[in-house]
This record gives sequence, C-alpha cells and structure tokens, in this order.
Amino acid sequence: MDLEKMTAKVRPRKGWEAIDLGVALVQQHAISLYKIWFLITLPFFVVVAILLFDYAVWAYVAFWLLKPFWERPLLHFLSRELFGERLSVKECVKSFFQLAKIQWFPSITWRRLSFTRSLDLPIIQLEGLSGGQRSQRLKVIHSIGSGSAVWLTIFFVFLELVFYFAILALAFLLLPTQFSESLDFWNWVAADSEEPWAAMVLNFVYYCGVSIVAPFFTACGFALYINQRTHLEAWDIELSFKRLAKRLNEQGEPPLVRLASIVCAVGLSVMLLMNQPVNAYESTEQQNELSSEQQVVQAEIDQDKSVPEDETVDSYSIDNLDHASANRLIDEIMDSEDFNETLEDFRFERRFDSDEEKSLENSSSQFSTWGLLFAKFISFIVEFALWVVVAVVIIFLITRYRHLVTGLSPNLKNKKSRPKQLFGLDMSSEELPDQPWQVAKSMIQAKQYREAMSLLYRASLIWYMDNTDVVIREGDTELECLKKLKTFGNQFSGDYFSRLTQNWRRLAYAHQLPDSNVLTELCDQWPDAYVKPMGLNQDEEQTNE
Amino acid sequence: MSDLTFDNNDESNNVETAKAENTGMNLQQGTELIKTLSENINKTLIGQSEIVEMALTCLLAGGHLLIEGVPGLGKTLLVRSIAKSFAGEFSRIQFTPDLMPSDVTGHAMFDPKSEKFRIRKGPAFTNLLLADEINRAPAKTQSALLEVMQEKKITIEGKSQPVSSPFMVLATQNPLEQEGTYPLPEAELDRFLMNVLIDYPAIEDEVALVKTITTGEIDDSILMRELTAVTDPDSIIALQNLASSIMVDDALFDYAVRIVAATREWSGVQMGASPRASIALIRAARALALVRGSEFVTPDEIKAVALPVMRHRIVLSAELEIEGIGVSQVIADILAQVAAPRD
Repeated sequence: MDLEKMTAKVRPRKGWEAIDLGVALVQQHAISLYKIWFLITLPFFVVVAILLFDYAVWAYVAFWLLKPFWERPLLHFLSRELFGERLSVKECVKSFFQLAKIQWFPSITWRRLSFTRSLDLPIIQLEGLSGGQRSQRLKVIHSIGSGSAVWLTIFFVFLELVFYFAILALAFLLLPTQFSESLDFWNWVAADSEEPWAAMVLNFVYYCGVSIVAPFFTACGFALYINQRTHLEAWDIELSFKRLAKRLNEQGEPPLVRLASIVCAVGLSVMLLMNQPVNAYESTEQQNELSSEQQVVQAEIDQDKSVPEDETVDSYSIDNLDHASANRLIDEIMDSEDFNETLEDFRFERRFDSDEEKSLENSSSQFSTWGLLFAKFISFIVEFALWVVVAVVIIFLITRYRHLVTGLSPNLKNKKSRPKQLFGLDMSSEELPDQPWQVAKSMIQAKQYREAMSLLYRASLIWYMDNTDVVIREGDTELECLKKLKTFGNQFSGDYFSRLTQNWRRLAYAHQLPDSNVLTELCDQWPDAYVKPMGLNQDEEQTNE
Repeated sequence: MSDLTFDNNDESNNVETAKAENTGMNLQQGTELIKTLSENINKTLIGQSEIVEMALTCLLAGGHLLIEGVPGLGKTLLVRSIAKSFAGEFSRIQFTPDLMPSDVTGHAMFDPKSEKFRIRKGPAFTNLLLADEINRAPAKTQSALLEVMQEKKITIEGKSQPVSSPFMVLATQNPLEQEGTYPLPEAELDRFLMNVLIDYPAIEDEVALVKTITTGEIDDSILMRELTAVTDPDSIIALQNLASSIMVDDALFDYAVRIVAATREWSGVQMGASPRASIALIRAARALALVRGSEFVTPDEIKAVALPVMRHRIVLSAELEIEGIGVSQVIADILAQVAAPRD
C-alpha cells in the first residue's frame, strides 16, 4: 500500500465528509462498478428466479442473504483504484469466488445483520487477518466511533425502500387506466398477489433498487474505513514525512542530515504509538510486539518504584496479570511510601471565612458585608494589575535584550527553521567562509566570476535568514526573495541586495558579466551592508549598557 | 579598489543580444513598439492591463488565447482593439448550437455561371479570430478549429489553404452559464497556449470607463473610434521572431519541465500537463520577457505564465474538486514546492 499513490487527499475527515468521498468514488468509477455488479448479480438473480419461480419469497431471501458476497468485488475494485492501481472489470468478476470464500459463514449469518457491515467488510476482506487478531482489529477500527457506519446502513435501508416504492409507483402511473383501475395497488406492493409472476416482478423491482444503492453503500463504507485508519494511524502525517524524505533525497542531503531525519521520524512514531489507546496498538501482529515491549518497559518502571526486588518483571506481564493480582499490585503501589509521604507547607493568606473573621463579622465592629466584598474586589484589581505589570516587564525585557539571548544560544531558532539547502544553494552558514567578500575577490582574480557572485548572493541570503524572521520557500525566485527581504535591514543593505540581485540575475540567466567596477564594488560593500551594521548595533548596545 | 583584471574574451562573458536578424528589429525597437501597442489597447480596455499583457504575450508567442469571464468585461473589445492596433483583419464568430464546421472554415459551392465549384472562404481566414462563447457549439463545430489552430491551414475539398499571418484565435467562455453548453475537449483545450480569467476592473478604473463612454456619447463606439493603428501585421511577425530569440538559460528549461512534470505526479491530479505544456511555458515566458522589455528569461517570467499556461491542461480528481480545491490552488502549491533554479 503506497499512500503517495492515493488519488484522494489524505486527511482526517468527519463522518459525513468520508461518506461524501465514497459518493465521489462511485461517481468517478460508476460505469466499472455497475458493470461488475450486474455481471455478477444478474445471472444469479435470473437463475434463482427460474429455479424458485413458485417460491418467490425464498428467491428474495436468497438474494438478500448473499448480498455481502455481491459487494466484495466492488470493494476489491475500489480498494485498488483508490491507490492508483487499475483493475479491469474482468479481473474483478473473476475474483468473485475467491473473495466470497473469505469469512463466508459469519458474513451470511451473524454479521449479516450487523449495522456496521459496510465498515467491517474492508477489514475482513482486505486485511487478511484471522481469529482473535481480526476481532481485535475490528475493535480498534470501531474504537474511535462507528456511528457514521450505523447511520449509513440505516439510511441505505430506507433508500432501498424509497427506490422500491418509487419504481413501483412509476410503473403504476404509467399503466393504462383500464389496467390500473382493476389492479389493487397495495396488494401488488405488498407482494400479496397469488400470481407467482407478480411476486417475481416485485423481486425484480427490489433487485433494481438494491442495484442502484449497493455500489454507494460499499464505497461509503470503504471511505469510512479509510478515514478511521487515517485517524488511527496518522496517514496524513506519514505522507508528509514521506514527501519530506523524498524532497531531501532529491536534494542529495548529507548522510548526517538523513540520519537525523530518520531519528526524528522514528522518535515521533514512538511518541504517537505511546499516546494511542491500548486497543489501537493491539491491532496487528507487529503492533502487538510493540505493545508487549511497552508493557515490559512499564513493568520495569513500576518495579523500580514500588515492587520488591525479588519479584521478576515477567510476573507483571499482561499474560500473568489477573484481576485479583492487579488489584493487589495497585494496593501495594498505593501503600508504598511514594503515595503516603506527608509534606508540610505553609503560606500566609488572609482567610475571610476564618473563625476570627466570622467573629469580627458578627460583631460588625470593623467590616460590614459590603465592606468585605469591596475589599475583595480591590484586592482582585490590584492582583490583576500587578500581573499585567509583570507580564509587560517580561515582554519588554525580552524585546530589549533579545540579542543577549541569541548571543547565549546563537541563532538557535533560525537554524532550526532554516533549510540546509535552498534552490540548489548550500544554506548552512558553517559552510560559508568567515569573510565571504574576501573569498569572492580571490575567486574573481581566478576568473571564477559566476562562483564569486554566487557566493556573495548566498552569503547575503544566509545573513537575512540568520538575522531576520523572513521565511524563504524553495519555490521563491530571486525577485520574490528581494521583495521579501528589502523591508529588513537598513536602507544601505536593502539597496545593496537589490543591486546584487540585479547583477546576479543578469549573470545567471543572460550570461552577462557585470562591469569590473561593479563586481569589485559588490565585494567591497558586502561588509558595509551586512557586517558593519551588526557591529555598530552591538557597539551601541554595549555603550547603552 | 582591488587590482582585479577582467578577460573580456572569457567564454562566460559572451553576451547574447536578443535580435531577430532576419527581421532587422532589435530589442529596443521591439520593446518600444510593444509599449506603444500596449498603451494603445489600454486606452480602450480600461483597467485590464494584466489581461492586455497576457494577450500580447500570447500574440507574440504565436499562440491562441482562451478567455473566461462573465459578460460585459470587454472580451470582444480586447480582440477588436488588438486587431485594430496592428491594422489586422478581424473576424468574429458567435458560436451557437446550430453552427456548422463549414460556417467556420468555409466550403465549396457550385457556381452555375462558370459551372465550376468555387471555394468560399470562411471567417477563419483572418489575422484575429474571435470565437465568442466557443462552448455553445457542439464538439463537431469546435473541432473545426483544431486544424487551423495547430497548422494554421484549412483544408477545404481536400485542398489545404494557409490562413493570414499572424494568426491568432481568441475564444471566450462564460463560466456562469453551463446550461446548453458543450465543454471543450482536452485536445482542443491543449491547443490554446493560455487560458486567462478576466475579472472586474477596479472601482476607479470603472469610474473612468463609465465617464469616458457616457459623456456626450450615445453608444459605446467612442472606444473603438479613438483607437488608431500603431503598427502593421509584418511588425507583429517581426516581434514574434524577436520573442523566439529571447535567451533562455539551460537551468530554466529544466525548471519549466520540472514544473510541468510535477503536475503529473501531484496527488489529486487526474491528468497532468503534456510536454506541449512545457513547450508552451517556455514560449510564453520568452514572449513575456520581451513584453516586459527584458532580453532574457528569468524564473519570474516562467512563474508568471505558469498559471495561464497550465490551468486548462490539468484535470483534478473528483475528490479534490469536492474538497473545494481548484486548479489555481494546485498550481500555486506546485510552484511553491518546485525549487527555483540557482547555482
């Protein structure tokens, strides 16, 4: 399963949005889905109608009972289609018997009446689990709510009825008057006629109604299933990581960066797993292993805190832990020192409800009730004002002396948010020489004009990214960068960057080398534009201090 | 000052000046002419300077333009003013459900006097062809334009006949009325170099427009009356040649193709843009650079034309459309994520 090939946008949806997605799937693949449906069901319906001609009700029951089987090829087609794999109608029809074998007995007995049948079908058919694992998986998928699936089933049952009556009503309206007058409509609708052909006609009407609805029912159930998994397994986050990794790979990231990315991804995954409900990580075999590991780790922590050292970790594993021993263990932990330590703390506060106060109040010697309320109000105002003052002072200090903070941990924020590579240029300031203008000059002497201009341009961009909050995206062109950056820095650095961009664009895209004076000027003025302003600011600040 | 020395014969210092040698028009002359043309058209089409810029870009790139907008925004006026500005021929076809292909291209008719079949040329034999409300005609009639848009020739009775040069189709579509319309097939859409959306002018522009038209005038003819021809069809051809020689760095070819290729792999895009889109992107970027007076193309020109060039060549999946995400947003996302070239 490749999430990147998914044709729908991967994001957590609400129930109705997921059902909308199911309807959209049918709209897009209606022809194929209805072909599959009719190629499988119509022959069966005809054969059953002929064999059970005198027992029309049983023909109806047989078709209704086996409905879960009819839906399976539709799901087979949709599940492949959503992930970009195109199956032919023929392949789907051929797979019918193979698909029908999966969980065939429960599907037509106790699961046939399940209200969440549409949601359960993908789990049973697509995940290939069996026994307890399947039950666990069903629990997991249902754990974040299956109300939408229940309402979906109820809605589609009524929709089938609506189509049934609508088709009958249409046929009745189109009948010539001489026939319709002699026909008892309600007898007809209720299949109360003794004529077997009439009952079979009604069966056919039912078949038509079901045929209209079935692909939508299957697709909506499948969309709900996809949505539940997106919620549980954070598919959207996984997809974002994959795209990120792909982009990094395309840019030829250094191995160290790749390693760091993998560590971050693994770390985040572990955090996600640890935050999931218990049922969520018991869904698959692999996740079972993870949960066991987590339980062992948890048991170790518990043992360190409260359990006597002679007891082994295994004695606290889930397998051996029954209800009684769990209670015993909880009692032991609750009786331990950690939970029974008595701490004494004291503070000064005015207690208006103290006995002393009450006696004072009763005596009405100093405070009346209104006076007490007024005092409370004043104290609240004063406290609030003090907190505001503290907040303002903190904000002021942070704003005023932020350079000291950045000095202590140099440009941590910028380094975190800034990509190492941008539009093919190496954006790490570690790779940048200490005096880029000097290196650029030496490059010019060596007739490496393009490299020199590139270095100056890169150094300028890095300066802006290190010293301002500007965000530059990969897709930004030079002019867009200039537009963003011109407002930062002082007038001279803005003008300098403007000239540099202009000359760089001419060199890069028109292969026009700037005049020798211009190149030299650009090298000489780089420190004036970027180094000196910083130095002056720092000097000024030091003087102020 | 440092003691730098420059070798002016260095390979990297070879300046390629955009010049169409066979036409004798250099960049400066071309830029001035385009500026005059643009000002002339903007006098008539008040407040739509961006659309005028794109229309001129399309004309200089030798492409065809599909304009979408509600009625009354001056789509027809734009075409008429472009045609009049370069003294070109102009034809207008109002597409209707009963329009036949021969009504567009022409047909052979029997002349009783000479007892011979005579070719009667249709309105497509012109410089600027306005296909008004092109989606009101059925696919059969729309397809009559396929040959002339691609090959600039029309085949009648087995005989190919070239149309006038320069030739440009400007088709209009009304995005609001969908009743009784026929969506353009993908093959037809792909033949349009650009698809631009014309929007309402700014309030102050609209005030100026209303003042101009209603003061001492009983109809709207003043706009066209004041318009004069500032050049001729041959100059337009020279400008087209000049545009084709605008310099494009190799990195920009790569950039354009990467943008187009991204549409094919983008999640939620059912049909991405074809290689014809890559060609169109570069061609349009060259023309836009000339319109802006530049002798070389930069990534900004490519980004500027990316939306009009690709908007009609991408088909989104139904799921994405249900989400309310449009083609413009998808293209904007692609442009933000495809790295701009630098080295």
